[in-house]
Amino acid sequence: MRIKFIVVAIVAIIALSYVSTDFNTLNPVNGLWSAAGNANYTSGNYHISGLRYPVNITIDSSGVAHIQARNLHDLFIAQGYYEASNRLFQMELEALLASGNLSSYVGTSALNSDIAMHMIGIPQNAALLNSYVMTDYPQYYGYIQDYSEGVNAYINASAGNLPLGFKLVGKKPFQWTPLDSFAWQEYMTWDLTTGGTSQLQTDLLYSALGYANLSQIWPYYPYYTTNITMVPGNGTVNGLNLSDMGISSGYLWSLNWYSQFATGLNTSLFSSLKDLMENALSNISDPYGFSTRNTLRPEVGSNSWIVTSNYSSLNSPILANDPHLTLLAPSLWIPVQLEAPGINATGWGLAGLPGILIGHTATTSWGLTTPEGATANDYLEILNGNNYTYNGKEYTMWEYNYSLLGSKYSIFYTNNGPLIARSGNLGISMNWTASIPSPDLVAEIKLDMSTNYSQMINALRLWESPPQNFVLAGIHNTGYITAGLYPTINETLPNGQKVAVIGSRSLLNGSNPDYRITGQVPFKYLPQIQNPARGYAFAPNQPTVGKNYPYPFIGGYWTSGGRAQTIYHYLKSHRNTTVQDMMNLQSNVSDYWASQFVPVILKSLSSMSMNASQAMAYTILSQWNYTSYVNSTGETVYWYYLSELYNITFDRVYADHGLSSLTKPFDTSALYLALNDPSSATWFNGSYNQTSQTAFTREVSFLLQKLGPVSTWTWGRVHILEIASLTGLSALGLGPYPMYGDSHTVSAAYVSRQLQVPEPYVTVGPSLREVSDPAKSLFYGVFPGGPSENPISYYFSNQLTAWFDHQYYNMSTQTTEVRFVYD
Amino acid sequence: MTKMGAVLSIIASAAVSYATLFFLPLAYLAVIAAIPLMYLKGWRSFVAGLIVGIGSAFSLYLIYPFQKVAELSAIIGGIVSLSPVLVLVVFPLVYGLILGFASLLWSEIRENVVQRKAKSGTGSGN
Repeated sequence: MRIKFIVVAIVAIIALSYVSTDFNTLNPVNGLWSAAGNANYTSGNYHISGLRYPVNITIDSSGVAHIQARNLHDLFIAQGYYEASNRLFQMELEALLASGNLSSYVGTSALNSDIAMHMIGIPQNAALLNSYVMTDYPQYYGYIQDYSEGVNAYINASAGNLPLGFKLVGKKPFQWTPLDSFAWQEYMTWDLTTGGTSQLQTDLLYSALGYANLSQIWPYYPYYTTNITMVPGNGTVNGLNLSDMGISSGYLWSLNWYSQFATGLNTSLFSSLKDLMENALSNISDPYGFSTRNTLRPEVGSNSWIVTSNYSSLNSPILANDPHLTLLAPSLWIPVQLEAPGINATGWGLAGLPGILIGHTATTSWGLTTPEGATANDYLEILNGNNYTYNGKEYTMWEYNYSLLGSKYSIFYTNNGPLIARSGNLGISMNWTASIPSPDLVAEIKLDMSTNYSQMINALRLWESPPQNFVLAGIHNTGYITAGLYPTINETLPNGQKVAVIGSRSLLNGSNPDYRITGQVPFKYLPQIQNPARGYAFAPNQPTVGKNYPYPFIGGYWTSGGRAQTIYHYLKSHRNTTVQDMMNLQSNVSDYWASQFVPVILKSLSSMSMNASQAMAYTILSQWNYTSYVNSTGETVYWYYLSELYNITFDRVYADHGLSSLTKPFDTSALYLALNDPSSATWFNGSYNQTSQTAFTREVSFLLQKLGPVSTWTWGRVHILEIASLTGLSALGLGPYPMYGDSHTVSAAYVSRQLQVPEPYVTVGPSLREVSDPAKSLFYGVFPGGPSENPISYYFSNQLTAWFDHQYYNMSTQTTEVRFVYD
Repeated sequence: MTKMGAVLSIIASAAVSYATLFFLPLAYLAVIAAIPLMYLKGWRSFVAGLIVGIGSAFSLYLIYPFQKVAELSAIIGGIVSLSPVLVLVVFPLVYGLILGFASLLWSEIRENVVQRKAKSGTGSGN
């Protein structure tokens, strides 16, 4: 009897311990705890099969790995091995996400994401790209294979001691292939693609608000941006402009580009397509919310600028770049130097892809921002069963089948692209340029091998998707080019003139050949500028070119230009610019639009009788210098005023039409309307002053209730940064931290405008900062993280404090901390 | 059982425990590590097993830097919504309990066998 009791007790304990399926992963030897033993780098020799000669790797005190090999084959094997040894779990999770196969790892919770990836076409495009690069660029494909080989060498070597992430999910890594790298490239391409969702949003707003109201809040060129284009001037590029083609830019931009001449569709149709368009929007939104763009988030972007030799204190070009992406722990970036005969590049690569995407060589430097011109266009399709109609005839749709978790799914393609929504005999297809293979990785490796400005330009001839504003600096020359494939549509204007335009504001008629993509902007006429005469240029997602550009950006969905204005005014007034000036500008937390809007707000409130709290808030606002440090109360008063103003203007109108989920108008639209249409019945109920006073009254009352006395309304209490883990587990992320900046400051910390305390967490910001002067061998950089994905490693977040403080690492002079030899 | 014999049993159990934890770190293998403790009687075998189990499993954390173990326990605790201390002790505790009860089991079995042998020996004498 006693023995029976003991047996039952033992069995019960064992059974209970196995309720958690992977209880044994808590064992101290090779379970989760082994991550505690892998937290630091250890100098030593590591054998990697496939290497022809030993490869030396040193890790410097900032966490940058310097990989020195005797040939490119060994170099890329070593890069693959090193990156996998630091980021394998991240890389595989990202590859699964991009390949639409995440559900095989995490189950049904990822099913919608996987379906969205297939619908957008990311896995299909990756397969096409893989074949294309293999056939057309075999030498470079070899480098990508070398990288994969290095990744797999690490996977095989680590079989008995897997990274923490794999133990947490109870999975083993799969073998890496070039297809996984291409899938991640395609995902990042989608992340940086403009269009696709934009046309659907503007159509929904058009049908609800009408052209006049829509134009007020979403003008083709955002308000106050005509003087701050990337290419200075009226839009002439290499001598070509609209006027010389006999087309009046004034006439062209005065047209209603939602109307039938532009789209082939009767605008009265839009209201009946509301459900279809909303389904399309939903179907191509990444349910993981990881994507920076192509979601319904607030405006986000990146910064870059250059000063020419004549404008710099050192008589040599200086470049600055800080791309704004979703801030993740670990970062999307991994810092590395690649050195072998024919290449010596230092900078940041995307984990999972060979090469360096942003960085410098000894004599060149480059960075990128997103130009925001549409490369994904949506078409309305007429369907009949499995057929679509084109030019009066029916054709059978091409069917793509795939399986997830044992179930089969299909996607149907018209001649324009995949159907992203269907209702009865109508559907919406998406034409995305990434379905044309783009050898961006080849361009990237060529950039890594560049030794002068013209070599960088030549490398970018191969860059197609997504178009990017490449900021370039060599020893003598500096400039910009918006490299990439911009698809054009041949439009016939109401006056009979023809013009090739980029993108649309609206759904296009997929059945009508007149609205098909028929060409692309020639490389020579892509927006570009070299050594601008005024001494500087900048490209923080504002309009790239003026309205006289020969290929009008009808599908230009630019940001409001607040960062561009700050950069413009700074550079304009800082001749003899230094590298330190560039760093100072990257740390700027002044909100330019606030400096324009606050005087208007104060004036509207001046006649208001106020209680003590309101008077104090008013005083704080009137004394505010428009900076958004964490101890600023002026920023809080300003931001919540705008949130309240939105709540009773734009949000109200959007809600009335059931469109609350759509992107809200820019702050500049509110400013413009307050100045130019203060008695608008639609937006201000007849009086901006009255609306403004109501917003202010509500704001003070709201914040008193949520935050207490006015003097305690510091920005850091409501504006908070979280650097999340890709797994979604907050324990594996970084933060929350009180955060400076706002959506319009150069040192950006984007926040969607919600009336809540605290604001929704900041999740997008400068994913790295780079300042370079190649002629003087000055290269500085910092990013919010470190090379390792192990959350208890020093190298998980070793650069984070410097990033917060706007400090930089000299990328040439760091001391060596650790030495590896791969042999 | 002499004192020396008890100590040797405990040492042998600890040795088997370390061996299984290193090479086959599965909690139920504590049943094997408990075998040498069968020579202890009653509650002594349970207590010895519990101590050997908890001690051997817990001491293995010493192969890692303490601070890193503490940081990791906070992270894992955050993921599974448990106290970091509990996350740290749960495996050694469960392992120790299995080892303790298994020791008791082996001890009971051994005593039963011995008693049966003794009984059968008495019978043959009659």
